[in-house]
Amino acid sequence: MFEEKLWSEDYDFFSVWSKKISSLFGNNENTTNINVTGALDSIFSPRVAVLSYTDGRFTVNFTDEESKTLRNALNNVIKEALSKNDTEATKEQWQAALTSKGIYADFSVPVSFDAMSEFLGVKNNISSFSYFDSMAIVTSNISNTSLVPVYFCDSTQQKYLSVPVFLNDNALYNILENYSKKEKQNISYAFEINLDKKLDTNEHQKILFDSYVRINLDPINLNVINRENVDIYNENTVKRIMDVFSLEYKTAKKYTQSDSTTLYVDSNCVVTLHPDGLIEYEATDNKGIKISEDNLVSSCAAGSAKILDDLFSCFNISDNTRIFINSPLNENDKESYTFNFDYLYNSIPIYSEDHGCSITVNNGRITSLKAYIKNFNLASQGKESNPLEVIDILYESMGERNIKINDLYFGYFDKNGQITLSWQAKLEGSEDIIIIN
Amino acid sequence: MLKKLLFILTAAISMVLLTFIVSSAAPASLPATVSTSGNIITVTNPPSFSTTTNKGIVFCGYGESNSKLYFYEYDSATNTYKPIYENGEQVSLTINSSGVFWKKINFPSGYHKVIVYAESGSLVQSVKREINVITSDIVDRIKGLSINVNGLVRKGI
Repeated sequence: MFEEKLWSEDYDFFSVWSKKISSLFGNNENTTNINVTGALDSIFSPRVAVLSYTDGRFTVNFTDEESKTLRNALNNVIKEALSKNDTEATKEQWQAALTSKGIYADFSVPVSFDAMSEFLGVKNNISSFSYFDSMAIVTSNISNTSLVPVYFCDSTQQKYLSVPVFLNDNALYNILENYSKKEKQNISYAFEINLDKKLDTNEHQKILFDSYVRINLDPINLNVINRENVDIYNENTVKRIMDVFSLEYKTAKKYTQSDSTTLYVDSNCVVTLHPDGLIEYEATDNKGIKISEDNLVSSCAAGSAKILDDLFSCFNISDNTRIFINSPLNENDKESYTFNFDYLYNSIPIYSEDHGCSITVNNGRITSLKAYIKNFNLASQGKESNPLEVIDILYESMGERNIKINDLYFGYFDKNGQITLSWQAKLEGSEDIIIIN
Repeated sequence: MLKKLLFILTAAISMVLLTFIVSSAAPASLPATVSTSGNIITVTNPPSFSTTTNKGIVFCGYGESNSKLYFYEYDSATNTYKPIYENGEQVSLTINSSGVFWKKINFPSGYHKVIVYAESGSLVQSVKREINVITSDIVDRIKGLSINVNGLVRKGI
């Protein structure tokens, strides 16, 4: 009954989507700009996966070729799970899944099961709840003929569900075996080491953690990077940018301001090039660039990613500079979507006061776009950062009052081109992100 | 006379200094029946007794800022707790302003009795933990156990 494989091990969902999007733009087989930035890869993809073994954990950031096989294997599992009947699970079962040998995948943004099923081309049978932002697969007893429990979590509602999925090939098993040979990290979830539990009348407990904060127990080595300016006014570059927006370069009206900001205007849109690398597009009279026939979140997000790939391919951007979608993918059939994208350097997020790119889609058409074209390069290697010291600094900077840390992660912060290594923290009771240098 | 006075003064100062140094350093060992009372630290993990397949045990919790922690393991040959060493140095840490601490220590398979010894000024506290590190094949064997109930009934049990 389970002898015939439903799909080959190398089935790549993103290649399928790349071709779909290309055909919409009329590029078909000769597309050269797909996935220059990694933006398309980030659609409906986990931002990070944590693989748990008995001797430690390994974090996968889904920005390199090797991680694509893991992502495809996860998509195959999700595809199977979506077609099954689910049951509600408990917090204890979810936490047991995270501490078992297995895979935890963090999507970071809410994803609707309907949108995910549309993206994967299957019917959605999940009924316990509508959105998820993370999932876990318990692989303790995995083999090529295993029924494995798959859990999905909606962390904002604190809801969990489980689906038994039959794995009928070795793909996931082989991937886990390959990663098991890599050097592990000492990472614990806060609930595993009881740093999420409030102790009654304990004068020493000044810091509490959300149960699912991943704590790096050892110092981390981070590379120092710098940002280099892009030449936005090179004539060939400008022509290629105008092609992306289907603006006729030769006949467009050109206006240059005193600070070199240049506007190109035709009957359909205005494209503005700023000296700091910001490109803005505004459609006139809601005309816009058509990227979706069905106006579903999946196709609108993928189409937005394609436009960014086209735009970035006009510049010489380093291979380690990538962008990822940083917007919820949880509502379909909306008249308007706004998709935000942010930067990564070598899988590590780079934050700034504004999103790296922001695209508004109305009725299947991009009507406005803001993209800061940035290029990042390695400046020096291996600056050590100790998470315990970071927590001390955070505590002192908050006036030495009791705090609860809802999230803590390291990255870079780009302030007007000055890149600093930083940790970012989210505290309970605040939407603000605190930067700790 | 002056020389005598100088000698006595020097000896007295040395005694004071020596006492200070001794009280600041970790004990070379701890007795098997060390007192476990005190309020310098709370160890949130591991629990008092635990069984695990993970050889890396995370000792963590909260404590008084600037207190120093040392880790000891029971040695049945001497009936004392001996310091745990890592890379040639006794495992220790200092709790900073936030009060949070954590330290992962690897243990071989087997049963381990550990003391987390905390010092804060002249106060000391010992927190005991018992950890049983088992191998995953033991877990698999336990999971593989099955009882033939029908067989038991037939035999009149």
